[in-house]
Amino acid sequence: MKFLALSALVLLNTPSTALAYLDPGTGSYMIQVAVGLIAGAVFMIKNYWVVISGYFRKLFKKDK
Amino acid sequence: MIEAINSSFRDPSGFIFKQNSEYFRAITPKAQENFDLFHSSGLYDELVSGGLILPHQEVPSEKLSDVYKVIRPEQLQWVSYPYEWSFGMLKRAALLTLDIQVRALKRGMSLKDASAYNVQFHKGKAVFIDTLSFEKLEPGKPWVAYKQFAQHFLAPLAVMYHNDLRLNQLMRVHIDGIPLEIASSMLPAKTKLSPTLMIHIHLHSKYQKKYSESATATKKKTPHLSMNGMMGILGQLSSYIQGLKLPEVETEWGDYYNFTNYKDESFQAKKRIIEGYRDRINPKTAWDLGANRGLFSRIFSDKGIPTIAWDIDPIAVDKNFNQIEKAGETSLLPLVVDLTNPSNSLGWANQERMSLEERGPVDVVMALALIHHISISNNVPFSKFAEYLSRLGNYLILEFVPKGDSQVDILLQTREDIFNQYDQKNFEKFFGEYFEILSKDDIVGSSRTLYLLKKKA
Repeated sequence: MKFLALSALVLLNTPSTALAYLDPGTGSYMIQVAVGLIAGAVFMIKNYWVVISGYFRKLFKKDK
Repeated sequence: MIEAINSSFRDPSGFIFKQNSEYFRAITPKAQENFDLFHSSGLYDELVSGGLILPHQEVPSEKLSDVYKVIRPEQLQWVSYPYEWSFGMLKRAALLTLDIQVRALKRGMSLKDASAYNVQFHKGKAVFIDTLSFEKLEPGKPWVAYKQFAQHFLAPLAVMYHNDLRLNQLMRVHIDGIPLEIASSMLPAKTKLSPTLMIHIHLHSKYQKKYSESATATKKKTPHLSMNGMMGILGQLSSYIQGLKLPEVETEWGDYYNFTNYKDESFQAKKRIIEGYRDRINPKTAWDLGANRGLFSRIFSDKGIPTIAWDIDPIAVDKNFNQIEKAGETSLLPLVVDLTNPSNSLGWANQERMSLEERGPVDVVMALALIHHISISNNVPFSKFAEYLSRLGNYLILEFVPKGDSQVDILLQTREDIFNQYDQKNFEKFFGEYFEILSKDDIVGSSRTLYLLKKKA
């Protein structure tokens, strides 16, 4: 019964197009979603930082 | 009749089979779309040109029913497992997996598994071996293999780093990686201050528990993870793992080469004798048991002979690996093994992962200054040791260390000497049952003797 409930949970939480051959784990999905927002924001800030610092570095080099 | 090898059954996308002592991978029609996308997206070429994946060639497959294609991957020198890797090796394998996932995402694909067993050490480098691990990316879907990555890589690295380097052995018990609940309970409290470990081990473990018990909590909607979110998580994991560096500690055998009974003269003599043995038997494969950092293993590997340097000390193996990476050596593989309890057959029906012995026999086994550890520290009689070694290799190079040698005396210092038979005469007698003595050479300036032995037919 517990197994059935667990399977149902996994099915409910997995996009219907393709099921994984491994059990991805519902909790493992949920934590990714939970931290994804912050992690995504950090990722974007880092990317912008690379672009911005690259721009200034170039400017600095040119000035030299 | 083609049959999959015993370790190849989990993923229905294909299987590995062996024919004429070569390994092939059959791809089933189910995997056609993803396999084609793997190539057409340019991902395969990118990974091959970066040396990140084992390259393959397509071979004819007409005779096989229900098979889309057959590929012949470049053949591996050796197969090794995460519980035999040093910290640095596991770290390399983890970073490789993350790097591949990032590259896959950029080309519209994703890894559907993140098993440490999908990585092998080939020609001195970590390389991904599973061509069928790639699936079409479904935007918004969290990473299917995230849990497996945490269990196979992050948890072992964290407990090795924060608790004890020997805990890679937990992978021997837990074939699908260290359960996060165990890792979380083992790790010291201070690891909760690390955002990466707090999230991906401690909280992750709590979430697993929460969602396995509550059936109502997640009925709301399909979880959605943005691409930036996924990249952020991968970036966080990657920079954390990249930053894990072992402190400069000395190993159990750290000073081994300086602290043995060897003057430089004897050391050079020993090396020359072994080189002579090597040239005499011309081996194609070699194992060095108790290799420490692989100084003598290199007598073989430097000549291009595929060699494994086995040692019990995870730090010595790690240092050996660092040296291999630094020098770009391609024929030496350092692995951790406790010879008193060597890697056994593991997994389903005890047939998924090969024992140490199943990966042999090799042309030559070397056991330098090992016999006193096996026979005195572990009480193994000569006859049992000889019998085991005769199963591992066709030739044996063995260094006999007699009583009176300071290294043996140290072992006997704190215990009763029950080893009446531990002498050269008995050594020759018992080893003589399994081996023929081809050469016997005293090492000048020491009381030790080198033997070249050949297995009896």
